[in-house]
Amino acid sequence: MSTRWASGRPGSRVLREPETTPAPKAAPRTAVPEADHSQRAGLAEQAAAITAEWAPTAGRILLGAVFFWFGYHELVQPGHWTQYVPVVSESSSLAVVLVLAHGWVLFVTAAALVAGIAPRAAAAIASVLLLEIVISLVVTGVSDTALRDLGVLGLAVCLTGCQNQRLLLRG
Amino acid sequence: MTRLVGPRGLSVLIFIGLVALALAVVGWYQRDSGEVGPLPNYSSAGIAVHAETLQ
Repeated sequence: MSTRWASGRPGSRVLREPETTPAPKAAPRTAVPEADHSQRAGLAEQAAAITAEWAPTAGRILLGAVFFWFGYHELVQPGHWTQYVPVVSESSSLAVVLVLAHGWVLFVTAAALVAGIAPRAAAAIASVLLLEIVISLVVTGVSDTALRDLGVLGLAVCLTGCQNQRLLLRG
Repeated sequence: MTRLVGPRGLSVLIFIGLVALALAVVGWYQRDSGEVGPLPNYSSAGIAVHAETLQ
């Protein structure tokens, strides 16, 4: 006799069912979650494999996009960036030249990152550039921007160690 | 020993470097335009035109 809460209700379906019927149904009920679990595990493994394969490439291209943006603007509008040059006077021609040189290096490094030309060396150069940017920002005292660039520096350092890169320009 | 940058990669880098150099020349000639001026105020003109339309 079943002791479930609906067992004593007259006319309920639970009472009409024979006691032996739940046994064959129990097997598929346990098999379906196992299949679901294995399918989910397979999907998770597949997603992890795709992520491990493509994440360094995505990070490299996104870092290159950041470098392109800043490099382009430093090249075209150097007057907006001379305030970030430490030690040198903001209104001097030397500050403009330094910003232009910095923008040129950023632009070429961005091209190397996006196109996949020597990606680990480009990421190493990007790390050095970002370290210099973070130091110069800390010197001028802009702390929130410095912290943001510290995170980008972390991405560049990670990319310096990544060996499995896709979409590379070899030869 | 393998080279770090191949001939195609070197060509791309030289091309991008020349483009960046051209942009630097452009930037040098507009180096004094770093000051950002105030935004133009069109509010009074807009209200006047709108008032004329309503009448």
